[in-house]
Amino acid sequence: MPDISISLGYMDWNKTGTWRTQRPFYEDKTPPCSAACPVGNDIVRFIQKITQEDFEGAWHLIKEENPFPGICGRVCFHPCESKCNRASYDEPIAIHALERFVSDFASNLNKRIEKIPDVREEKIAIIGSGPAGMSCAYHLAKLHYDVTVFESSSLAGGMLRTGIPSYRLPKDVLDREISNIEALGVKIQTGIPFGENLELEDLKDYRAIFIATGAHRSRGLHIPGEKGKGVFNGLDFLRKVNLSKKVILGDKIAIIGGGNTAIDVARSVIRLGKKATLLYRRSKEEMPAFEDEIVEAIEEGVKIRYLVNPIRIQQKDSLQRLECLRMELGEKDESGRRKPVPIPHSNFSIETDGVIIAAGEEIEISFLPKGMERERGIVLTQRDGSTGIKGIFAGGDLTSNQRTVAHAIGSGKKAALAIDCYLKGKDSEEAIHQILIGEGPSLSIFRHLHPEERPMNPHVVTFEELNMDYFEPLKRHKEFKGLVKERIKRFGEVTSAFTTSIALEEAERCFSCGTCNECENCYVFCPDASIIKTEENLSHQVDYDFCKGCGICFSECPRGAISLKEEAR
Amino acid sequence: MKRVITGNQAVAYGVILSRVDVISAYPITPQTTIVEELSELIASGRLNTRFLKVESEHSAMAALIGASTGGVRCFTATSSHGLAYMHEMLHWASGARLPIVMVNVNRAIGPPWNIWSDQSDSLSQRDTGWIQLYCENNQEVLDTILQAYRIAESVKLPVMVVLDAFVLSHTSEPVEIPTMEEVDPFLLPFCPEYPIDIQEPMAYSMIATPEYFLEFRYKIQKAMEKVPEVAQKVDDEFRSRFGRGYGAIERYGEEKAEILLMTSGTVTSTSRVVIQKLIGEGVSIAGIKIKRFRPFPSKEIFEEIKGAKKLAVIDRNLSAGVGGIFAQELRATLYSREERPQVFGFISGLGGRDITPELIEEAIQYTAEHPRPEEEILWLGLKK
Repeated sequence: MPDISISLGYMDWNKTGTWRTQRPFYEDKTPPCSAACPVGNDIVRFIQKITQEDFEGAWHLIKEENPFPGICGRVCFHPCESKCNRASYDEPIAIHALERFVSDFASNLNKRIEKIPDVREEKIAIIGSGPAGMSCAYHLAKLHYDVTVFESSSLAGGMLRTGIPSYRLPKDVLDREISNIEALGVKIQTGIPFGENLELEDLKDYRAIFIATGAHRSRGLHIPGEKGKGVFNGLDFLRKVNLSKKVILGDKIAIIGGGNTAIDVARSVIRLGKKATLLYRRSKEEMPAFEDEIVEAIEEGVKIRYLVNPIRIQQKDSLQRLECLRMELGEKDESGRRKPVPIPHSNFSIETDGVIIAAGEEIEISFLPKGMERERGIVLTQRDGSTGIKGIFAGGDLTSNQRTVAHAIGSGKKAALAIDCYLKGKDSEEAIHQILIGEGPSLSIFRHLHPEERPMNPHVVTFEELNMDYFEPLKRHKEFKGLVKERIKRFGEVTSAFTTSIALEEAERCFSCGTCNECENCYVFCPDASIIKTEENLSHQVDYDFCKGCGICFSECPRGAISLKEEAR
Repeated sequence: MKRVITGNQAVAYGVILSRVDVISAYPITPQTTIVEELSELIASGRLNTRFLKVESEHSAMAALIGASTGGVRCFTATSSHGLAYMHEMLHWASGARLPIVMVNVNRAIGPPWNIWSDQSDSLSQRDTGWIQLYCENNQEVLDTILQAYRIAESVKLPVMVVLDAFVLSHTSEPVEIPTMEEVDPFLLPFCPEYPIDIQEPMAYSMIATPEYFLEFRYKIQKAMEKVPEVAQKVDDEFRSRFGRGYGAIERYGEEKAEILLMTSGTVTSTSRVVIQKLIGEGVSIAGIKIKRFRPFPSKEIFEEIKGAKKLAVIDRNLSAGVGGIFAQELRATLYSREERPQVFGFISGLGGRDITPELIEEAIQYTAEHPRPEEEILWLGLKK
């Protein structure tokens, strides 16, 4: 008889798993960042790669969904960060800065996605080489299609090239990411304006067409004097500056508008050595421009006058006299913002050397094929980008009022998927449904290409579902910004990339919501030694022969990557 | 190397030299500085030991029961209410035959609230199947920890090493600290008999039906009965390696004395001074220090009390309704003997009150003047 009450033989015959009433299982769920990303980036996984110091792996992961990490890391308005669960704890992860870090790392090593072999016979035409068109081209090329992009301007890039100043997006970053798309086998023909040198009939050989011509027309103010000399529109101004064309400007410039274009114009004016005053008809809270950029503009000396609306522009010699009305905020309008209402008899005048109107953009409709439905200033499409015309798809700013680079990239990707389905005779709605991230609208094309890999429960992980016992407060790292007095002298990039050590620290802050990062908490806590780690597959598995279903792994998982369900009887 | 250190530091040195694998503890005055010292050493990387933070003493002992079952050397320390909170797990540790070593810094149990020295905490746990060793000074504290692992791992029973609150725990004395090289050959790595191996899983501490339970308890008693011999061997080897030994009890003073003063813990040091003084004055008196309380050193005591007529026992504890616990144990063990000296049971120093030379002398004087005690409990220094 032994000294202690111990079994006389091994106990592995006793499958204690039969006692289980609930079953834990590993199940990745949707992190809120990815669900909020219009591009559909696999954010948590690329951050995990950073923590493993596999920066190239991180870059490949991003590139699966997004041809433009260098661009998005710089100019995206990062809705991912607004939804980051870490914001409920201390501060959100600086996702955009990590994406930029990864992209800079790859470009420093001259990393490229290799040319796609086995090109299919079907040719596809893309009109417009902006973020939507190029994203569509990129994903179609990866789906082995023969893609040609037609661009009216002499250089590819669309609004990325003509609309975004180089202090936010250096041209070499844009050139690099576009040339990488070309390297896949995508052909780009520049200097071919659609509707002029190129008609729909010329594209008969193409089995599908994606139109993403953007919104390049400045919206007018419809006030007297706006067509006068010394009055420019914002997009024309930016196009000239961004294509390094000569711009003649007076010393004091008034910019009308409160969106990102207005801010870009104002900061460009400052860099040309002039004074910039922004006139906006609502207050700061309603301003559609992104907060960070407003802050940077003010740092650089841009003056902003709120609740002011010009009603007349009068020219006096080289001077412009802007007659304005003061405004106050009324009820909310359909955009959800409070509507500006003129205060009677509040007229006053502003003297200035030039006026630039940046009060919004419109789409060009003159060259659109007949039969394309439009509503509220945009082309109407189905969720997959299909128009009413067979084989013709549309996307980007042309089809959406959410005019961001990220939305454009996302719409191009969705159209690529739809075109693939269309040419293969598949139901694109069904295909989209399979690969939605969370409830959508963005989707994962990786999962379209590899349906068996990385399954993900659409449930978006909430802060309450995480176990905060395993995290401690850590400050968000900020990117270094150049000194204002240096910034305003030139169009060089304002923001510097994270150093490797800072990127690693910032990546470590990620909760990795809903995504197992092999922290091994389950392995350590399991009282039945029933978490198995296999050599060939590093991910964990539950040994159901012995798991009693206590649920400790489920409750101690810091990131909600384990689910628990009632055992079927 | 000789250093001037507190009793709690002596504990920490003992633990370091014992190459303990896992420590789990919850802080309580006056034990706190032991775990503070050890946890800082571990945090700074100087001590390669796993420290498990827990939310209670019950969990501390439970954690060590797991670790010790896994086959590693374990340590914890506590006091007073903390020890009481561990009670259930103390039974488990001995029932599962785990050689855990624990330091208990003797402290009164409230209310009234009190943090000072008193043996009621450790003596309340006398029936939990733990070996109990009481220390007189800081050197003995360090040495006893090294010996405790040898004894525990040899008989597969847990050991409680006990020292007085503040009088030892927070008071500095010169202590000879052996080197690791000296201790290693004395205390070899722990070789568990039934270690957990998840490749060959066994069921542990499973049910024992009435057909078997009695036998498991019998084995624990047999293990306890082996302790005197094992402890003697360990002490002898310790003495030959380090030049210091303690025995289960120690007799000092007049060889043929008819009155013996029995003490445990730091009261012994004071008693040594008093007895030396009285002998100088011509009184025939000797002292007996009781180091080992469990298993109770009956045989050793019988040897040393031959010829004695009266035993004065000073208890720094009280089992209300009976009296001092050492006196009670002594009476019980003497009952079967032909030669039964009178037992004078004194209670003194509860809740950390000083047991002064005057009080000790008063106890000896009372014993000398009375043929038998007038009362079961004789209170020393009681305010009327």
